[in-house]
Amino acid sequence: MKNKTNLGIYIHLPFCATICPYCDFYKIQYSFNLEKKYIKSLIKEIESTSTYGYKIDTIYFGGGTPSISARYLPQIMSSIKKVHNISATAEISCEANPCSLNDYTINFIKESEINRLSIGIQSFNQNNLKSLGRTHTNDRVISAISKVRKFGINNISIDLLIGSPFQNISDINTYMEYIKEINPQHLSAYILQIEKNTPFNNPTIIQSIPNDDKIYEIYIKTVESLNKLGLIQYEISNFSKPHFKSKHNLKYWSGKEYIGFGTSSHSFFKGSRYKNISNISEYILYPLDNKIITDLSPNSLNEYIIFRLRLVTGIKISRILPYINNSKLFYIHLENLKKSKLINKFDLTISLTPKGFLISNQIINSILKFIE
Amino acid sequence: MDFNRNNIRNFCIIAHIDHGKSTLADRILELTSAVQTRDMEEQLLDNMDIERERGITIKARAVHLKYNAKDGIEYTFNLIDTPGHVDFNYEVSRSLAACEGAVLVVDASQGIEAQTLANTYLALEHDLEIIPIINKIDLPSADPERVCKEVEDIIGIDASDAPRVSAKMGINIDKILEQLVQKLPPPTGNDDLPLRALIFDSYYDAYKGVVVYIRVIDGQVKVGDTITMMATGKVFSIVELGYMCATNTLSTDILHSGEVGFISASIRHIGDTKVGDTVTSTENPAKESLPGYKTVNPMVFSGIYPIDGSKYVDLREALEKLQLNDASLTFDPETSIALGFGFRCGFLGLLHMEIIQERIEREYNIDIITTAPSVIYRITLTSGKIIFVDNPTNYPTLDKISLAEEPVVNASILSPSEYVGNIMDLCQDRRGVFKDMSYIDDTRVEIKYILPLNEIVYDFFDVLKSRTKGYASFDYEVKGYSPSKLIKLDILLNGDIVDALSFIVHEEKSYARGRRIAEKLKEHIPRQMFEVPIQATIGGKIIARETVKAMRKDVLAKCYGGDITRKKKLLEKQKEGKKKMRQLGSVEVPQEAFMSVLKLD
Repeated sequence: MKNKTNLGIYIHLPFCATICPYCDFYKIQYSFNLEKKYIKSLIKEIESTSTYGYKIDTIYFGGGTPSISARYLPQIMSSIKKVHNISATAEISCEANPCSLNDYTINFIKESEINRLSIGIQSFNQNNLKSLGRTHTNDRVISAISKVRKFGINNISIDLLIGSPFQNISDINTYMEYIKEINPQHLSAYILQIEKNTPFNNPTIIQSIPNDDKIYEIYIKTVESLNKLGLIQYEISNFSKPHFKSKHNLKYWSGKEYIGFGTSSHSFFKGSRYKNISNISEYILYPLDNKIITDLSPNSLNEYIIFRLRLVTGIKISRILPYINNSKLFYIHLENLKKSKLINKFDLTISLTPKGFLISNQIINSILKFIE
Repeated sequence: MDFNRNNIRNFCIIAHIDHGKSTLADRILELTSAVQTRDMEEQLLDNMDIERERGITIKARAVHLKYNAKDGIEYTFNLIDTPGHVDFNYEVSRSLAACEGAVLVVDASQGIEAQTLANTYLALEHDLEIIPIINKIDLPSADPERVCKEVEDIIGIDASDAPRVSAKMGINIDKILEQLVQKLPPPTGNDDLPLRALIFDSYYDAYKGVVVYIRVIDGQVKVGDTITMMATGKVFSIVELGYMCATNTLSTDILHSGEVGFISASIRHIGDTKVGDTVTSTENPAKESLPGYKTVNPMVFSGIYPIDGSKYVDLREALEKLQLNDASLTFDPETSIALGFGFRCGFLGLLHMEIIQERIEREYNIDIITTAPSVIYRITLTSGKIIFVDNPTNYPTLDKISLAEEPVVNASILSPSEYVGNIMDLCQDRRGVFKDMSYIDDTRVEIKYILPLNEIVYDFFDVLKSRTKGYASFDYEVKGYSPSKLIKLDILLNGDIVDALSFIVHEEKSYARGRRIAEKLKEHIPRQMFEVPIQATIGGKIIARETVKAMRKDVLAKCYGGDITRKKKLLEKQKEGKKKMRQLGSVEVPQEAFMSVLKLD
C-alpha cells in the first residue's frame, strides 16, 4: 500500500526494582508473577489491536523500568511485528536503568532490535543521587554505557534532573565533564517538579530544592554548556547531536499520531486521545477495555500553540494570525516579549528563547488570550 | 375584645453586642407562649442569616406578645428590637421613641461596655423607664454584685432589685416579665386627637409592598383610611393593619393610640416611608409632626464592582433589592479604569458596609471587589464653591482647593485601665485629639477622643481589639467637619495610575501610607512575565517604589509517554486562575491585591 500514515507505538512496562521518591508515573514494585501475567495481557492487547493502513516508524518502551523486564522484550517485539507493519528504518527506543544494564539484559535488548537506549542517570553528584533514591554510581554508568556500545547500540540518550535537592550551579561543571566522556547522541534535562502524591511532597525536601531564581541560573547554564558540547537544544528539555532528535517524542509535540499499549499508556489514534486505565490488576483482567477518552477537542489550534512552542522551531505566525482578534495589540505583545528576551526575533515564526521556555506556560497563555 | 390601654407595655431591650439580647428575646417569646418551642429557631428576632451568625441585630423589628401576669390580668407586650450598633444609632433612637421602657441587659462578667452606655443615655434622653437586668449569671466568671454596683455608679439607676438571669438557661425570665408589668407605665394617648403615628421601621414584602412598623401616639387609624406621610408628603390608602406576632401576623381593623402595629398600604418605594416620619390622616391632619425626624446621610463610601464584569446588571438588581429594605443604603453608577463598571455605595458606617457587601456575596451570589472605604470630604474651592467628595478619584488638585475639611467623630472607648497607654498611642497615631478620661470603677476607664472618621474607617476597631486583647469596646458619633491637610495619594503600576487604589490621606501620614501600600502590593502581585514597577505618588512626585521581579520559572509538565492532556489541563487551570485577575495594561493584578490595601496593620 502506498502513502501509509506513520504511527508511533508506546509500550508501558511499569515494574521498578526501587521506587524513586519523586516519580509520579504509573509504576509497580517488581513482582515476578505479576510481571508474567502483565506481559500476557500486554501481548493480547498488542495483537488484538489493528493498525491497518499505518506504518510504524517509532516504537518506545517506557516505564517503570523496561530494562528490568528485558527478558520479555523479544517476545513483545515479535508480537508487535506479527500484527503491525514496522518500517525497516524505525526508531526503536527503550528506557533503561544503569543498574539493570548487564550482558544478560543487553542481549535481550539487542535481540529485540532496539536501536536507541534512554538511560536514566538524573545526576552525576553522588549525594544528589542518594537524595533522589537512585542506587547507581557514576562508574557504573560509564561502564554500562560502554558495554551497550560494544553490543552495537550507538544511539544513546541520557536523562538528567534540574533542580534536585541541594543541587548547585557548580554541579553543572561536573555534569559536563561526565557528559563529555559519555558523549551521548541525545540528552533530556527535566526540571524536577514536586508532585502531590509523591514522598517528595514534604517540607524538608521542598526546602532543599533550589528556588526559582537558582533553577533559572542552572537551566540557562545547562543549555549553554550542552550547546558547547554539540548537544543542541531542540525542545524545552531535549538536546541532541544533529540528526539524533527523538523521533518518537517529536510526535507528541507536533500533533502526530501514536498508539499506547499497557496500563496507563496514552494514545492519539484515529483522531482521538485516550488512555488505558492506571490500574495493573484491572488491566491484566481486561486489557482491551478500560480505555478512557482524555480530551474532547484534540489537535485544535490551541494544541498547536501549546505543544509546538515547546520546540525551538516554534509556531508559524501565518497559521495563527487569521484567528488573532486584535493583531495590532498582538504584535505589540510580541515586541514586549522580544524586548524581554523571552522570544526570538520573529518574522514568520514565533519561538521561545531558553529564558522564555522556563515561563512557557505564561507566554502560551498570553498568546492564547488573543484567540478566544 | 375591648381595648384597654392600661394593659399595654411597649418596651425594647438594649445591650452591648454579645451581652445576650437576642437570647433573652427568645426566652421572653417562649414564656409569653408566642412561639411553640418546636417553632423556635435560635434567636427568632434576628431573621437574617448574617444577623444570626454575627450575633447582632441589624434592623429593628417589633413583636406582639400576650402575657398572663400574676395579678390575673392578660397584658399585651410590644417588644421592639433595636440594632445595637452605632451605625444604626438613628434607627435605635426611633425605636426608643416608640417605647415607654427599656430592659437594659448587662453581662454579669463583662459589666458595662461602650454600647451599653451609649444606648442607655439614648434611652434616658427619651425618658424611658429603665429596667436593668444582669444576664449570664450561669458563667463561672459572673459577678452580679459588682456589675450591679457598676450600673448604679456609672449610670446612676437603682439596680438593687435587678433580676439576675441567665437567658441561655432560662433562669428568672419570669421576674423580668413581672417587672415589666409593675415598673413600666402604660402608654398614654388620646384617640380623639388627629392621627400621629411614628414610623420606626419598615420592610419590603414581595406581595404587599412596603410594610411600615408604627407606634400610634395620638388618634387612631382604621383600614380604608387615607394617610399622609408628613415628611415625604406621600399619600396612601390603608389596605391592612395588624400586629406582628412571633411567627405570624394578626390582622385588625383599628389601631388605637398607644398601640404598636403595622400598616400595609400598597406602598411601592421604601424611600416613601422614612424611618422617623409621622403618619397622619389625610382628611384630618395633625398640625405638627412628631419630633426627631431627620434624614440619615451615609458617612462611609466604597466602590463595589462585580469581579465578573458581566454581572454588572445582577449587581444593580441586588443593590436595588437591598435598598428596598434599607433606605440608608445609597448607590450610584461609577466607572473605574481598573475595575470596570460598578457602583459607589454609601453606608451609615463600617458595619453597615460590611453587612451589605456580605449580603451581596451571600444572598445574591455575586463575587465583588470593593475599594478602600472613603469618607465624604467637604472641599471649598478657590472659586468659593463648596463640593463634597466621596471618591478619591474626584478629589481636586491642590491648587484648586482653598479649604479641605474632613468629618470627625466623638469617640468613646471603654477598657481595663492597663491598656490606657496602648489606646492612647493608637488614638494619637490616628490623629486623635484627647478630650477626657474617667475611671468608671477601680479597674476600668472611659477614654474620650475626637478622631477623624477617615482614620477609623479602615481598621481602627481591629487594631483596638488586638492592642487590648479584645477587652476594649468602642462607640462613636459624628461630630461634624474639621479643617485638615489632606492630599491625594496615587498608585502607579507599570507607570499607569490605578484609579481604584487612590487614597485621600492626611499629609503627615502620606509617606508612610504610600510606602506601606507599595509593600503590600508587592506581596500580593505575583511575579509575571515582565518586571512590574509599583510607585506611590503625590501630585506626580514619587514617594515610594517597589518592584515585582519578573517570573523566572513556571511549572513545566514533562508530557511523558504522550500524556499531553495533562499539560493542557495545567494550562487551562492557570488560565482560570488568571480570569480572577484584573488586567491593568500588561499587569495582572489579583483581587487580593486590591483587598490587601484595605488593611495595612
